[in-house]
Amino acid sequence: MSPTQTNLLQGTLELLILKALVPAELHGLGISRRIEQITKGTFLVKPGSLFPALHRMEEAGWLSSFWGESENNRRAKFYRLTKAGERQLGSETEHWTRIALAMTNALKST
Amino acid sequence: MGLGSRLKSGLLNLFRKRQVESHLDEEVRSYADMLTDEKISAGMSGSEARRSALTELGGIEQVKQAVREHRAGTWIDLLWQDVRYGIRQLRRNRGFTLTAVVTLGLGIGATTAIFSAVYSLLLRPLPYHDANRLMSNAMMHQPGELKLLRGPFQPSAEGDLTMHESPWRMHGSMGPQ
Repeated sequence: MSPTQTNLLQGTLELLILKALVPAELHGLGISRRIEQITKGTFLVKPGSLFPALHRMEEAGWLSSFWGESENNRRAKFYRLTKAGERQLGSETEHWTRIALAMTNALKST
Repeated sequence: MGLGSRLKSGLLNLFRKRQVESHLDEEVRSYADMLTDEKISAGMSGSEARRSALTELGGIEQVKQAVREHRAGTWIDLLWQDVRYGIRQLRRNRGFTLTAVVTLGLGIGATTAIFSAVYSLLLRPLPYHDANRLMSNAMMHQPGELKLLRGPFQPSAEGDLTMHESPWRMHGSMGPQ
């Protein structure tokens, strides 16, 4: 996989994680399922990329985490958005919208 | 804020490694457990669900390693591992270590000695005021003419006096004979 592709996917994954955490705090599997749901099954996030992203984002201060109980009483690590995370979501959404628009226009032109 | 929290978690990763590791382990295991639960409620048998969950996960250890590689401060950890590995290797190959140390020692020693000599002989300005205006005078006797040679010790910046020959050239004899 070329580096640009990886970067694009990495940016996309972070944006989706931020978006998934807006309504509620979730644990890892919950985030996966939520992303699956909001992208209508287009993105299946593997734990091998989900967990590194979560830890990186926590280190960047966008997420905070705490230990809690899952719906069927398993101890799980939950993530929630921080203020910095909300700001990040705002600026990345704007960035992404601009790219998506530019790409759509570029591909439509003849 | 980003830098501060990265620094904080970098320090945490370094100094409370065991705790960070056990939390990571617990987190990934609980993910596997919940995935198993999900598959069981979708109708799989216990062992089948477990196997399928682990396959989907791609291995607990692999996931943990992927997280470790992205952590802040990983490079210090890696550097330290490399240093320890290097020391172990040097201890194992005494002959090689000795050769390397002697080679480096001689090389550095010789270079330093040569440079010190060159520096004090050629490069360092003479310890006098206006050292570039120092002249050396010499008389040279050639048949029929007498040359007065003079020149600065060091190439002068003005360029009006060159090293080898003076503008004065005297014919005939000079001095007591």
